[in-house]
Amino acid sequence: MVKKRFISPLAVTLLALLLLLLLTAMSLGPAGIPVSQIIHILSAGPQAGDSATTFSTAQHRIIWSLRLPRLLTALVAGIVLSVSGMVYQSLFRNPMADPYVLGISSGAAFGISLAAFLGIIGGATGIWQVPLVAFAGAAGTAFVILILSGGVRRSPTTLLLTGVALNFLLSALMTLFMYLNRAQLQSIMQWTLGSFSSASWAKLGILTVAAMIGIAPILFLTRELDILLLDESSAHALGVSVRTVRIILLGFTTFATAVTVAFCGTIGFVGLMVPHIMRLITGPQHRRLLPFSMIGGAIMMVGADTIARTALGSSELPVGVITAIAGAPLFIVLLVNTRRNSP
Amino acid sequence: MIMSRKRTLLLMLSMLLAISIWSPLTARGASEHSPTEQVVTVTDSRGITLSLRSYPQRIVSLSPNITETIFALGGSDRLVGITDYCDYPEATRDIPTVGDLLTPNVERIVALEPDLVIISNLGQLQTIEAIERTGIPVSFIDEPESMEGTYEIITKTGLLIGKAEEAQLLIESMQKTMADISGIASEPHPTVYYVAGFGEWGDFTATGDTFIHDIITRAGGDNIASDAVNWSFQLELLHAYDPDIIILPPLWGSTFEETLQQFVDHPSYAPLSAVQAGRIITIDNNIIERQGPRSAQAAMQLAEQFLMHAW
Repeated sequence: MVKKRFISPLAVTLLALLLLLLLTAMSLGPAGIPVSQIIHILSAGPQAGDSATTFSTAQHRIIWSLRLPRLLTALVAGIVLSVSGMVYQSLFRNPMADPYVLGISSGAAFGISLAAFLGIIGGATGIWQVPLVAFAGAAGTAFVILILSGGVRRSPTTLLLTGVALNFLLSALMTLFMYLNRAQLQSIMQWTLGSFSSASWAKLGILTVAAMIGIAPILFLTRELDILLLDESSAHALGVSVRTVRIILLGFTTFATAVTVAFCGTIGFVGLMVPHIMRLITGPQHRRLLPFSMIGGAIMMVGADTIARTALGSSELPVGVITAIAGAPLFIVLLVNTRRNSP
Repeated sequence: MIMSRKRTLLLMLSMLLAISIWSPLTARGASEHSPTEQVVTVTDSRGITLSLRSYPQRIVSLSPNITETIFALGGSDRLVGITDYCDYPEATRDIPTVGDLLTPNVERIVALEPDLVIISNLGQLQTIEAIERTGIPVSFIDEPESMEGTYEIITKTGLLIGKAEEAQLLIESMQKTMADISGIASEPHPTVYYVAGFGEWGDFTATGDTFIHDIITRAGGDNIASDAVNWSFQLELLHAYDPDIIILPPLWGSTFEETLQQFVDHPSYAPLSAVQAGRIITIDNNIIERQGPRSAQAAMQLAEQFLMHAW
């Protein structure tokens, strides 16, 4: 984590809130298990079950192989998407940038659909291939965004419109694949909506490693991110190679985002909402904003997934629906503000 | 010249209109006298009454269960169009298809010049309207998702194609099968889970609002998803109920053995009691999904397999 002289009480409060949320979320679900049982089940460890008398094997299985990996996957995905949003916003100097809005997430989903359509990945594919094709799709999209939007010199709207256009194009192509191969309709649909229902310990492991690889460079580049928010000539004057920093940051966050999409589908607006809310609390300095965005992203995603899991009783909602309902209005507010401020 | 030509056209149109208004009445009057030209009058599931001056000779069926029913009633020689999904019986291969279930090709249907189109899917309502605008009679047959609903579908189809007696005989034989099943149904009822979809992107099952649920229940099974709706179910509920028997129809394009392998190898399902004890049974999902002549057979197949596992 970031070196800090003191631990902010606000950070402690947020961490406590996250812990409380995790415990509550673990007890909620169609097969409701009370919090008192949860403590017993958790302390029994992952292998126990048969010998215990305070809970059933089914309850143990539900917590250890279903709810726990799922909650932690949501937590890591929340961290990745919110940090990616924060980085994109600073890189492009655009308050509305986020992996979903810019089409990076769709790019990853497109990579997966294309590979599935071509038969590169399928039913018995190893757990590694999906993230790889997702990254290829996401990196391609990021590259196109970078070229088409002309870096950051153009207006914020140009960048957004480029993202919107790419989103349209990619989703049209994915729909085309669905029509050409009806058998994959269900799975491609799910990738476009986002869900944590397929979470497992193995995927969580890969996702966590990818998240650490994606976020680690940012820890060392918080000062450069601050400088990037100034104009490019000042950055040069301060000895920052804008191009190098931008490519490094974009590359690593796109990688983490792509792996998240590979395992959880496209989940929008978390990367947009969380950094904005956290900026109100911490100010724009990235050294402080980064850890807060991480905690905030975790809280938001675990909360959204819990709603998705429990709102409909025995069936569940796609989590992307919840985050879009919460995030899209904020996007509109930001858009109106930007239009008002720019000449 | 131009004016008079227009006027002639107008006159001809109004005459045509007058004839078309009168024709059903004259047809009805005529049928009372000649027994060969009977009138078909069937109220469909929309509440719209369809009257035909004679039994349809060129029928397009836009649903697999209707196609099966027409075959079972002996009316297949009059089927001129079916859908891509109408795959039973074998002879359906020789009938041209008009596209898939949700988006059949209206132009192809019209080109077949049918005198009756039978539809049974709400998703096709737009198609119905498009066909009706061309003047082709359409009957919409969609009944409650139960055995009673199935009998109603067979009755209505029989009435429409002039095979009412055959329909009655078919229903009676199905009812006899169903009565036999309630005789052998095991006590106590085993708890059962039907796998309509599994794995990566969620679990889907025959929830309490489906026809499959009705068949399972009548076959003597206690469906654990009876309170759920809309086919969707959560994995943790499956573990919480831990059913006695799992019904696993083969996945689309796979054999049962391949599907079974995939299911039991999946870490989410491996610990279930039914998987551990090998109490996984199967059935052709077309037989159990379609409300048609094979529905009683589906219930019988399940009932027998439930018995086999009830030691």
